Amino acid sequence: MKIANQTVERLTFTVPLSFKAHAIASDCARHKTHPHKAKKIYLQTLAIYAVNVYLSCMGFETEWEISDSRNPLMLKFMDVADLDIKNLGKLECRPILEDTEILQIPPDVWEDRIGYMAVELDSSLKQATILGFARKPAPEIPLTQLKSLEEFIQYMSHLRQATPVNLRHWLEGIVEAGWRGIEELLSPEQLDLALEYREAIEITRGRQINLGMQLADKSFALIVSLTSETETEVDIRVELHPMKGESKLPPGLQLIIIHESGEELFYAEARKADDLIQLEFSAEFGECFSVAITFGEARVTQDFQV
Amino acid sequence: MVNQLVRGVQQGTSTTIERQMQRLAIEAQKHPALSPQRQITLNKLVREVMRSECIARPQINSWPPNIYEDLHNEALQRTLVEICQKIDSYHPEYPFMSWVNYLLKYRFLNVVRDRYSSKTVNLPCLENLDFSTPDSEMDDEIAMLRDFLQADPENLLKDESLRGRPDITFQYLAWERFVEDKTWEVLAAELGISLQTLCSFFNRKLRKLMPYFQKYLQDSLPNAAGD
Repeated sequence: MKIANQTVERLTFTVPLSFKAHAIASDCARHKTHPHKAKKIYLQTLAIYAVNVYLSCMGFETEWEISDSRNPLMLKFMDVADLDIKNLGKLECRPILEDTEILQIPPDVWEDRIGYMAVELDSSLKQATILGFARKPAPEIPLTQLKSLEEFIQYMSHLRQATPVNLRHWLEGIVEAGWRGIEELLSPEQLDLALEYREAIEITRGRQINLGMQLADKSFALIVSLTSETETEVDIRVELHPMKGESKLPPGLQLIIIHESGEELFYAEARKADDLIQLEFSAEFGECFSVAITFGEARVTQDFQV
Repeated sequence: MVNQLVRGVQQGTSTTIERQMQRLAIEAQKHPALSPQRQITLNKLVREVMRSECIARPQINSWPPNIYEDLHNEALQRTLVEICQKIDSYHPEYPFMSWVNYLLKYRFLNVVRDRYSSKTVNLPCLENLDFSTPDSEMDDEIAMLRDFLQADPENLLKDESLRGRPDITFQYLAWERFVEDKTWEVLAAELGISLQTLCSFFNRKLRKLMPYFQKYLQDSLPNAAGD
């Protein structure tokens, strides 16, 4: 792409393909119904493999083993090359051979996809390059109209924030990627302070929150602790700490709990020299709420389901 | 003289690239896992690694060149994932490519070890992809599925039909797709309904009927390749 004499380079992701990729492709291709379909399945499997490596590099959890593209019956009836991403949905991965200018999407996969990845395969089949993606299907999409991988990452980030964190699963020991133990987020001094109140708590997890440009170098630890004393309710404590290396929160930083109806239920604001702010409340199983963290114009929200 | 000059230029370039990689690695470490800033920075970092002329070639003299390339690719692919997942453990006082090559050396050893336990294969390129070897196990599986579609022992395949079109049953569509190898485009035109309606109906019913297929075809439908 040349714009005003300057070469603007598109960000792509190149994956070497070797024994493992070809072994899976070869196994999947056996489930063909007609000989001409075997090659198609083989190439599609290589494309999925490359996207799977890319997503692992980006930190996403995938579930390829339970995707349709690994189901022999699905492969027999449908033209599918999907990759399940945990809690987010299916991403379709379509191979592009060298010298092809178009991403083709068959009608079999026009539904139930969060996006369509275009994966260029080298004719040596030793290398795959993820070129970009499309959010909506069309029988044919010119490669020049693909959205970039930067946009893909932003899009996935929106999807992830729009997907509620399931706190009931936490109590069963299943925690979403990105939520870590508090010892990874807080300094030993902060941990001492935090652990004082932590007798009956069943599970505590946290994630780092960045508030974007306004506080460019500041990030915070959002920590959620659960105690379930009854069958129907859970006690929830939400805390906001400075990340390791910082000792105080900036004054004016706000923590807000919002009901699924949109009503603001609880609110806390950091004063001068606060080392943490926190809110405690209970919720019934099945209820939803959001946590918003705001500072001036900047705002980050995370949805939860109990 | 000319050679020296060329070498000098290359070294100059590789130092710039090395500095660029180090800068990207430090940038990635600043942002939390799964944040778009970290992800995009890691993507740029992987691009630089793949372009780097400083990628080590461990054990290069111990293998024939055709096998070596695949061994190296397998190790490099695993290394890329490791770089991204363990970026926080990179110490910026060392050159970035030294860290990459250190990881690569160990992944190469793993690949060599794994490869001894699997059979040696020459990986095909696009031109030599060949599926003409008879596969009697798969032929049996296809024959069983065909018989099942025809017999429909519990009449579940013929019971599912498109709303308002009793002639378009799941059984009919499955047969046309699986046995006659017709495309959705051809079927939609023949039946006078939209492509999307047709695919959506078939997709939904196939999922619903999956346990029925499995009940009768359990033994012949193993899961596709494991990892």
